[in-house]
Amino acid sequence: MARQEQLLRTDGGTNRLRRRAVAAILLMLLLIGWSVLDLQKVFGFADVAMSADFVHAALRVSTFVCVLALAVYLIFKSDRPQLDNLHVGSPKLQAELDAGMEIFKAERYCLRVYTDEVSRLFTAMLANLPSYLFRINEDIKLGHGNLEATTTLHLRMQPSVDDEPIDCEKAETILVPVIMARKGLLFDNLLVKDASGRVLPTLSQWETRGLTALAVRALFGFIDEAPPPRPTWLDRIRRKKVVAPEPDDELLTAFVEIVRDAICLVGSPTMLATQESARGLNDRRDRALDRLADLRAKMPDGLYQRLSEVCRSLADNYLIIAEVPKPSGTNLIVQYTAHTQNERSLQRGKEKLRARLGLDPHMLDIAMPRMLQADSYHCQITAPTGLHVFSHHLEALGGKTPLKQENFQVGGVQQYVRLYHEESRTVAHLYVRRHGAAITTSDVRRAKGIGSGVKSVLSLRETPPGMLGSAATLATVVATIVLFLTVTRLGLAGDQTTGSSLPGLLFAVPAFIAAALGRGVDGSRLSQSSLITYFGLLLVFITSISATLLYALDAAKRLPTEVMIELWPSAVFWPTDWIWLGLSLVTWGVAIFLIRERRDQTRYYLANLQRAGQRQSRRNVSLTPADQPATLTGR
Amino acid sequence: MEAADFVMTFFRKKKEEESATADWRAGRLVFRRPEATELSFSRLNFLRSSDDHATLRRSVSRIYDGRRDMTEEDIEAEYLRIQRRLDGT
Repeated sequence: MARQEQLLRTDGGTNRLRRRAVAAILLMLLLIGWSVLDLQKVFGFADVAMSADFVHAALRVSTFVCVLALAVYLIFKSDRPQLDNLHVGSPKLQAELDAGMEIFKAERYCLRVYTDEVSRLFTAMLANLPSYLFRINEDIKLGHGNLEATTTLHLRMQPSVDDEPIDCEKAETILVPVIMARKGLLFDNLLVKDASGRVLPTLSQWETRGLTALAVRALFGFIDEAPPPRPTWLDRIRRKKVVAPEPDDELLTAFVEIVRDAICLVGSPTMLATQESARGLNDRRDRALDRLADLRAKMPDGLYQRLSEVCRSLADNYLIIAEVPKPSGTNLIVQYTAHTQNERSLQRGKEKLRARLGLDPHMLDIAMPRMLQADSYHCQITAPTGLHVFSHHLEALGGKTPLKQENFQVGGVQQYVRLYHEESRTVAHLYVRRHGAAITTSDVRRAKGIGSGVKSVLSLRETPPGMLGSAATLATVVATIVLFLTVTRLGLAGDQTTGSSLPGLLFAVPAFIAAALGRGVDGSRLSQSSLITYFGLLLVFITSISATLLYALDAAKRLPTEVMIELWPSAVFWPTDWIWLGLSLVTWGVAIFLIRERRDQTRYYLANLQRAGQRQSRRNVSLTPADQPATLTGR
Repeated sequence: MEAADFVMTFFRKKKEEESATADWRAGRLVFRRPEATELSFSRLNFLRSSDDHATLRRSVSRIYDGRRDMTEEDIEAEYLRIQRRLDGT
């Protein structure tokens, strides 16, 4: 009993469900066997006073009903493993014990471990990343239901806005806020690396909290910023340290409340808002974020808005901070690689059918969260081997319509957005150059269409002729064989029996299929093929099997569907068979459709390649010295 | 109302309901990435001028001057004082 319970716990009860299905199938087969026997004798009803036919019929009907009921059960009852008892459950969001104290201790640790210059650089990067981040390159590779994205961040160490850049001369490493991610969403296989590909250490959650608290405390310092008392000549002689004014108590409590109850709170805002047990935490979070408004009177103009955005941003998201060796030059490269599993959302449509047939997806939506976050953004999405990018367009997250250039007017400035269109490349490119000042949260919110973010929508197709070519060849071979048998009726006409050639002809169709299979059809390529190719191959398979069976039947027993077609009035007669004629028409219909499809796809693909080449050469020609004067004159 | 009208009304209604509840992700394979978009740190421009950078420098210096030498006991005492104030005791 205990062992059974253990099994139920680990396999979700699937074996029990399978045993039930096997029992139902056996019972059904047994009943079918009984029903074909003389049931009256089997059950010993031969001497019953009722009519023998009635008893026999009644038994047959009841058996048939039972078989039907079992068949309905087997078809419609789908077995689903019950894994509920294995589920650990959703994370219980509760107030952490001594969270505030731990944050204070972590902050003290960071103060001791990192110099003030390192902390200042980190705070400046966190609060004003666009001044530091000037280029983002993303390299995305598509796998089977998974995406591997390598994001390379190029940062400048000395932004033009800072008159006294931070040199961190005493430090060997600096701290870089690499990723800001939404709370509740995790990265798979995240690795942060430097330019040489060496894996960099990332800070623990405890240290990150301490460092974030330190940064927020530094930004809160803007509120009670008063010009520091200038040291007198006497102070300089005595080397007396200028004592900072005591921080405002109200400010300090607001800082603690915001850091403890909002910024360092674990759990996504959505989960906090929806989970009943987290209602208290959610209220505290809202209250903490509203505390900033109470201090508005103490802040200079515009500071409230900026500080509020920083606090809300840190409350909604979490940080991944890397410890990076100090660069020798003025620029720094940090890259990170992460895997993202697909969020399969196939309620209907072609992609759902593809998934059911075990084919790889051809339509993909990939979020572009880093777009418009740096001076320039370049994303390359590489299609799996054997596929090319049929179409690539942009849509807003949550939107359904393709975005146009007008949608990329942010803060009244048109942004430069470019991607390859109808070039049938294996790599989809998206290049965005930011025009104007850094794009702020309010700018993005005001931008129509792209407020919530942008995604790339990719439609992939198999590079022609590929499997479609093999399918077309196969269909033509099968159609030719069927037509040959329809026309000649070799071995089928009564007076022209070929004897030993019959088996050879029977095996001819599968032999041709086997030859074609060996040449261009395999499982991995089939999973990438289009639905047309898949169903074309299926039709070829069905028609060839039908032709083989029909030939065997027709050869053994002459079919009554033979007909004499008069090709020319009273002159030319063609003896044939209606079934063979029909089959021949179907096979040729399939073959013609597939040949036409292969021709059109190949022509379109080659034309796109040619167009891409011409565009490329045009760009290059315009840069040659010979053309330069003409271009300048034209201007 | 004829039977055909009744049937057509039903079908139209069903179609409208479908389009109203249609998910933008339906029929596609979605790769949602965890990076923040709208409220990302790449959208924050807290430090807008060299004065802001200078203020940050002073603010960080103040923190380091005032807190670098604090012991664990000092930290605990400070936090408990703030905690009491937050609790209103």
